[in-house]
Amino acid sequence: MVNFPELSDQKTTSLDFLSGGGEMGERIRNFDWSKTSLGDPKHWQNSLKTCVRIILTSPQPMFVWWGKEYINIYNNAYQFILGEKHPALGASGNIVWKEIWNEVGARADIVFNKNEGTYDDALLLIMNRYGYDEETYFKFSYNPIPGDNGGTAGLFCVCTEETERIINERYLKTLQELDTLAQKESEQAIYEQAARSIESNNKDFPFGIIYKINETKKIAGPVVFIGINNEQSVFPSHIDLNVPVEGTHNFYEAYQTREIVVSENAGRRKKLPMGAWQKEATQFVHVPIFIAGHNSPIAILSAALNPFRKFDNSYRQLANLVADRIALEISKVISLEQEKNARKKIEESEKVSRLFIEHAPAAMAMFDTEMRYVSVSRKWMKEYDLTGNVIGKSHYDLFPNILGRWKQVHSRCMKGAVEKSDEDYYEKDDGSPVWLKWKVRPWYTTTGEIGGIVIFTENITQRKKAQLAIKESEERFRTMANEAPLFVWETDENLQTTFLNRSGLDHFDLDETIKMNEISWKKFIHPDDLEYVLSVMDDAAKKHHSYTLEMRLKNGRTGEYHWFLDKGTPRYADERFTGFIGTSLDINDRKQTERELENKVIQRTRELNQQNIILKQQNNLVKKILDSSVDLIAVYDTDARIISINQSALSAMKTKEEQVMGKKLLEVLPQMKDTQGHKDLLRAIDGETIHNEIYYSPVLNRYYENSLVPLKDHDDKIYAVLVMAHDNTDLITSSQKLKEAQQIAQIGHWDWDVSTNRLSWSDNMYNIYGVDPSKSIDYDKFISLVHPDDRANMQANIEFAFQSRSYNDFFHRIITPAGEIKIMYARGEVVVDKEGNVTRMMGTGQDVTKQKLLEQQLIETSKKFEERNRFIEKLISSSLDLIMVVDKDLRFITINKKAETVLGKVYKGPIIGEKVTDIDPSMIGTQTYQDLLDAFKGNIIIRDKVRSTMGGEQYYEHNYVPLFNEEAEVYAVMIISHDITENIRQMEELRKLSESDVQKNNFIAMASHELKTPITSIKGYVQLLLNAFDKDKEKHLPPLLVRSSLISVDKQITRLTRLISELLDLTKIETGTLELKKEEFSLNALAIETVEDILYTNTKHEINLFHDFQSYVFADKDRIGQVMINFLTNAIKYSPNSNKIDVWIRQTKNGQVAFTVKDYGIGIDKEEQEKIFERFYRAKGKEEQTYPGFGIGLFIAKEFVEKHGGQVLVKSEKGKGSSFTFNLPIFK
Amino acid sequence: MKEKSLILVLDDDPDICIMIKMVLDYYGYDAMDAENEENARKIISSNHVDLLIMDMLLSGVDGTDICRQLKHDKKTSSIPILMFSAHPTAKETCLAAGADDFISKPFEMNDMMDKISFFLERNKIRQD
Repeated sequence: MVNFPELSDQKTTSLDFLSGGGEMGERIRNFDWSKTSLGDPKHWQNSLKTCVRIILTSPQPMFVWWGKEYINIYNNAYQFILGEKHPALGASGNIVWKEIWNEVGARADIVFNKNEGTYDDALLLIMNRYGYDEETYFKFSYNPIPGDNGGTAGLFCVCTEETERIINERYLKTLQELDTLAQKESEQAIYEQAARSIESNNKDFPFGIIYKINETKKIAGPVVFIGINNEQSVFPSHIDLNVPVEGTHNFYEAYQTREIVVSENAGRRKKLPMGAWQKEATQFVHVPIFIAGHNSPIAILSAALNPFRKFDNSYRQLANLVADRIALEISKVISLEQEKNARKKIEESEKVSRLFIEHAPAAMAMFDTEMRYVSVSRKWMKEYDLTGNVIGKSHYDLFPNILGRWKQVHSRCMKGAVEKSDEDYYEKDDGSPVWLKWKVRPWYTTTGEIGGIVIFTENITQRKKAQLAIKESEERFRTMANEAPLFVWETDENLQTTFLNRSGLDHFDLDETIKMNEISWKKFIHPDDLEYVLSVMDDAAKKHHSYTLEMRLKNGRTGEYHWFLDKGTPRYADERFTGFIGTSLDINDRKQTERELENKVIQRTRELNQQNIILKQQNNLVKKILDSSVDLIAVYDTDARIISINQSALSAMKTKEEQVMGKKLLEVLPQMKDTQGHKDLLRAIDGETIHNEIYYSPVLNRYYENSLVPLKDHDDKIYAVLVMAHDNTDLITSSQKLKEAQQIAQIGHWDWDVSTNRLSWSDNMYNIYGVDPSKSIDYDKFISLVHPDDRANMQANIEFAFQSRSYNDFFHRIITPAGEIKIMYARGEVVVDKEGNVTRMMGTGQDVTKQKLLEQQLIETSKKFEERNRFIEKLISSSLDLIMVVDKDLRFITINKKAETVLGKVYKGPIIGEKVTDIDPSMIGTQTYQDLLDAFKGNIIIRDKVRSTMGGEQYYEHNYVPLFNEEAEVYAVMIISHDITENIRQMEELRKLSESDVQKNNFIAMASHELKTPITSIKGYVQLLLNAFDKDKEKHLPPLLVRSSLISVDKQITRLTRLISELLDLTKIETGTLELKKEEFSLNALAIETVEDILYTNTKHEINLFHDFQSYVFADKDRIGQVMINFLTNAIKYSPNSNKIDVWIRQTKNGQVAFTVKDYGIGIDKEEQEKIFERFYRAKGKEEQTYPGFGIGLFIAKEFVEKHGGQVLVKSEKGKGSSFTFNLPIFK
Repeated sequence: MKEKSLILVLDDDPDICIMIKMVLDYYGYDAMDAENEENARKIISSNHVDLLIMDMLLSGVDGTDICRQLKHDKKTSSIPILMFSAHPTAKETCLAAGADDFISKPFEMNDMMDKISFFLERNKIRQD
């Protein structure tokens, strides 16, 4: 370092020019100049001294380079320009400024060599003052300093650093450039313009990219490129903002922190665009661009930084200002766009609302602040009777009487209030009531000011009225429902009761205060009915139809179930099922009656069925009889199908009934084809009666005696063939065997010499006796072979032969040595000598064992037949049916017990042998008789429901069965009669029962109608008068009303009286208590009187009375008068289209008097003429009306007249009229 | 809507027709009457009938048949039908045939009028 004290020593003397100058003055003074080419300052050239003096005294940065070495002498102000190069006193300028010597050295050369000065206003110099290359700007001038020896000895420089100014100006310019953004109207345009603006400052931002951030997609992508084109992949083209990756960390940090982030290139990115410089940037900056109201940046400017600048505050500020400026413009655009959109929307909505209002289905109007119409709906116009153009007119002018409170509403809404009313009532000018629903609200102009109000009104008068009416009707419904004897109920969609009337509550024993949802009505339904009821209801609800069903409901008090007629109708709201409304009517009584009637019918049916079973059983009996027959019996139809077959036949065929019934013979026994049996059947089907005494069936291998009889119906047509076969196999085979046995008869000869007692046998004898022929036989030996039981007989016979000299044939048994028992037939002759002594006996011995056995079998078989026959007879005799067999002479051959009992009632004495016609002579010529005769022709006849008067009225079903003899002739007919009287009687009873029920019901219905109709009329009039009287107590009743009512009432009472007396008469006739009060009177006078009465009430018809005959009668005058009235009123009634009735009183041929009424009306059919006198008969038909009345008038009239010994007659022709006449005996 | 409701009375008994008409007239209703089905149908087809009151027992035809037919015909099914009869079991028959209500003969005037006004009110509500 310098030695200051030394310097100060020098100074005081000769170095005044170096005084002052602050630090640099000090340094210059203390500097050892001797080591430089300048040497001791004392000896410096004067010009140098002067210059040094100038710099040391100037605050302006100045320096002097002296000599060719550019020895550097600078002042205090200049040291700051040097930066870290300071202190550089005495150093060579070209060394100190070596980095810029290119620039400044050239200028120094000019000064030194040309002795001229230089001037630079703002020269860019890349200096390295602080350890880095720095962009600096200087304004400076180099001036030559003349040496004391002439020429330029040094360079004098006055300089000003302009770096800050230039850069600030540049910043400003950049920001000014950004002003152009304001002209841009879209985001994109702003970004583009921003890019151009930033590009203009390619010193501070050599290149860059603005990334636009898509917040929803969390992605950033370039929106504009600055100083770079999009093909250069300096920065990533898309940046994922969810998570940072290699190379996006800084960007991500800026996005996250919304702060500027500076990053070093650190050589990662190569060949970067350099902008204004010849050097690549070493740093990048990420500048978030964010606008108010956004949480994250809308964009990020990523740019390279100036390589010759430190990113200091001002640089950072520039970046921020750029970002802010862009953000501002962008936000302006966004809000502009929003505003534009908003305005557009407002305009649109205004337009729409106007249109809407105009066409709105509601009554709406839009008013301005002066209550002038701006827009109005057609409905409003209609609602408030407005016509023509009202737009612009004042509402208050149009409605001067508008309610004050409404005006107040309007004015409140003009101030921003929104008011409404769901139900507002007022009366129109004409006094009619109106219910309104309204809403008033202000409307706003696009500028957000209240432009007026909108009024919405809805006339709810109809709805309100309807609601009131519904409410009223609901109440009325409930009142009615409560009064109703039947249950009235409603349910919701879940079938939960929502209403039940008082009757229902009573029945279920529920308190009226019970909550409906607590009624679980299902538990009142009989469990057996519940499922059915629910399914019906479900179905009805689905299919939209009402249902009617019967079910049992429990009485809440007694627990009994009653039958109810339940009807329900589903209800819907908008097609949605909302529940049922329905009724339940107690029909238990009706149901009870129905059930009783049903039971009655069931009972009857059961009885009938039982009868049928009995009948069937009895039919079965016949079948049993057939079945029990040992004979084979079968009936074939004309197709040779088996239609009936008995057990014997079945077992002979070894089959069962079900296997043969309905089948053809050849189907059952195919092997019968071409046999005689089959041929016979076909012949019989053709009508031939066949009898075979012996018929051999090769199929069954049996012998039969059979008959085939064609059965004919009433038309003599063959419908079946009866085949009967008697199995004779046993008999036939027995007799055949006998014959065979005889043919090969085992007969032996014997010869007995009595004197010698020698017995000799033929070989056959030995054979028969089973004795060895080589051994001799003698009498004792012979006896020993005779069956011990027969020996005595044998000896007696021999004894007898000796005495009588003759030999009787006899049978005896022997036992052979082998133990075989044989039956022998012995025959012999006795030989006598001259003295009459028996000398020998000889004869034959025949083995008849087989023959005897066959005989025995035959006997047993016949016994069996007999037993069976006895069984059948028993069956016949015990049958409940009458079974009779009649021979050709129609005499009873046999009858069973039942028949005997029945016939015994009408015929005393034995019946067997008597002729049928003797026992019942009345039967000749009857169907029964004819049937019997037909049966003798071979026909089986069945006759149903035959009425018999034998022993009371009985009904029978007769079966006639012809019996054939061997010649196939009918020798007898079996009659089986089944008593069906009880069946018929019960059926009849049932028929009568239902008939009388029907008649009774009809009569009740009619009587109710006929009697209640006049009562209804009377009641109607009386109540009308009462009501009228109550209503107009003070006033007089309208006389016309009173009079016509009373006339009607009177008429109805007359009608009622007549009906009642008709009923009374009917009762009297039915019970036989009708009494006549006979008196003598003139029929003519009564006729006149009656006709006058009729004419009094009937003005339409003209009645002509012709007295052809004057007559007195002895009769009940009132009754006869009644008959006349009946005839006359009928004549009037049934001639509605004519106006004439003629009445005659004449004498009849048989001396009676006749009263005839003739009308010219509708007339009566022939068929109907018989019925009109029946009880309860009334004219019916399409053309005729049914006329009021019980339909017993003519019945009564007839009864009356007949009671007087007269007759009632009718003559009529349909469409021409009728005449009714009664005859009475003349009283003389 | 017209001023007065039109009620048709169908009964073959002219006395009943006249009586009911008189009562209806008194209560301010328009009433027409028919003695048979043919006339009734003529009136229904040429007039707007608001209510039909009819007897179940008519000459030649069964009133319930007419009722059923009217209720099945779309054109007439909306006309409420009030039936009456003196028959002891007519009520179920009539209701089953589709009658809207039933009154038994002889009827209480107030009863009948209540029912009539109920149906006419109901008509109005339905029309609205």
